[in-house]
Amino acid sequence: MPSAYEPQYERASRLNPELAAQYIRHTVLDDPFADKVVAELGPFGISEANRFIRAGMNRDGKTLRTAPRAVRDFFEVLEIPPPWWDPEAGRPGIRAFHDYSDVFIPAFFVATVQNAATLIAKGFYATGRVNSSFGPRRIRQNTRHFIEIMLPGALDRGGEGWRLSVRIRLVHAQIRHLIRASGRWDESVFGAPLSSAHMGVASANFSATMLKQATRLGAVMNRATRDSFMQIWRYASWLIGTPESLLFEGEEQKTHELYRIARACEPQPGMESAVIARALFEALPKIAGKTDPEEAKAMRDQAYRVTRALIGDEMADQLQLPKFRSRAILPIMRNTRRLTRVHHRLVPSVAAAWRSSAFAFLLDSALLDDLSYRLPDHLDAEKATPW
Amino acid sequence: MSIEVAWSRDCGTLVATLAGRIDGANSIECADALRSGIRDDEPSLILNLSQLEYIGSAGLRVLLLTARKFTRPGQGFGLCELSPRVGDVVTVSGFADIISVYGSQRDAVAAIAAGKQARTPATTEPADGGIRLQRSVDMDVLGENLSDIATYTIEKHEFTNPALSAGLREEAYTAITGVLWEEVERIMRRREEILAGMFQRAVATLEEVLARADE
Repeated sequence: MPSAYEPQYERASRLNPELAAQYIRHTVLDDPFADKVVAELGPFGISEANRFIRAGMNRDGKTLRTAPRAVRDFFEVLEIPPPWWDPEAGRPGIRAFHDYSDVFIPAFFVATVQNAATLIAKGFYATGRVNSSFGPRRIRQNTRHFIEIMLPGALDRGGEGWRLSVRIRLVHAQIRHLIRASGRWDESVFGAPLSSAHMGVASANFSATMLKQATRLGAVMNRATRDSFMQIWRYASWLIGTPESLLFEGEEQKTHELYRIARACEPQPGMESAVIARALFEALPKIAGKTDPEEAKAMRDQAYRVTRALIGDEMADQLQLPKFRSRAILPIMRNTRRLTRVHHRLVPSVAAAWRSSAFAFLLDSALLDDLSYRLPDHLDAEKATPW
Repeated sequence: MSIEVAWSRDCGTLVATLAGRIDGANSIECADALRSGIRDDEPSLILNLSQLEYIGSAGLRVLLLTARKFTRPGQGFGLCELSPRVGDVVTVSGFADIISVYGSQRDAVAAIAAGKQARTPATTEPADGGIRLQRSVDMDVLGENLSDIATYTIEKHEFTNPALSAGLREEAYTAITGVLWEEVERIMRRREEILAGMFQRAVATLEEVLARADE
């Protein structure tokens, strides 16, 4: 067991011994399939590597034939989805996301903050990329991926959701390789960088935890819709490289349990987690285009309030989030949302204008100047070619 | 795969036919291609998507930003002939609630030529040439729908006065519904005050009962 996990393990194993042991086992596992791709691409240099990946994404068979074996195998295996994936089963979840995008996006942000409360934060910190552009870029990339997988057909082989999910897997593999080569990571202490365990906890956060938070913010979804949403994330997570042993067939309660036990196993959030959480909150006004300092502060304060209400005081204090009274915020938000929906039913022109600006905000918050399938070529942001 | 844009005019309306796919890799290229074909004073644009095989979120953003160039009075914008796959994305994402979507280019051209008809009072023209109101004047039914109150008020004015222009009718409708919504919000705030008062009376009454019991 990596030594960073030892202090909490006894308590975690009292909660669920089997799952705690399983989680800890995954802390030393990486992603052999994707790691092999990165290893075999290494000797070709970053330009050729990117060319081969682009060929794989675009199904350019002619170029792929000249690529290393591992690259060809990688795309060949991912070409065929697992037997449990049914694109039609994802439609209710997709519809729910668009019906409730105004609560899913905040819930998604909160799930991103919760990921920072684990040793995932240490992985980011090791890349030296936690600078002023980290927060906006992280939120935009994550949001882009989320929005993209929530469109019909997006997870089909030619879909953008498929491509972005696979890209995430390869970027993780490359970062893992760069971190290991840097000598900055002690696996006997922290486990594998960007370990399978962390893939699992992130998947759990972005699926079951997000569903829970969206519900607390006012989304109303029946069982079938929730299951559908879970299945979308199950397949996206599978493409990202989360092992099936931590996907629990996309069952919401089992996935919740994984998050609960992972939280219990993970070391208490340290300085890296607090810095990353802060960077995420600082990014919000920038993404929303709030240049007035007072408006920016008001937006951040509201985000702190809502996040604290959703994640609880214990985690909020561990992440050193500002203290706000947050007890009434969730009922107020739910009521406000209900009133807004009534308003929209009564005044369709207002509803249309709201949807237009909400949709535009959604698309804008995910905007990246360009999207490439380039892999990072250096761990340090200052030395890396833009990717 | 890149995006190709072919320009044409249909009954004077500018039409851009997009072929290929719009995704994160080529959305900037697509936006540039659309921008380059639109004059500053172009009144309307129809995007024919019959040959568009795929659209992702970046593509939807390009469409939304393009649509926003045609929001002034007298301008028109619409999508037409969506392939099933693209139609699915546009419908499920709610995009079709924001942007006009037509089954055929002919329908799109006709709609734009006719101008926007949003919230035009529903009227019928009876055989004698007069104009009658379709909606009931039942105040109980009307009172529940701010939109109907606004429409009825305008129609009632037009019954004995010259008809308002489309722009003035739109302005009146928006102003009336805005004021009515303020009334609704005032009523809701008052309702909350009344409810809070009821709880306070309930607590005070309980205290009275308990005080009498102690005596």
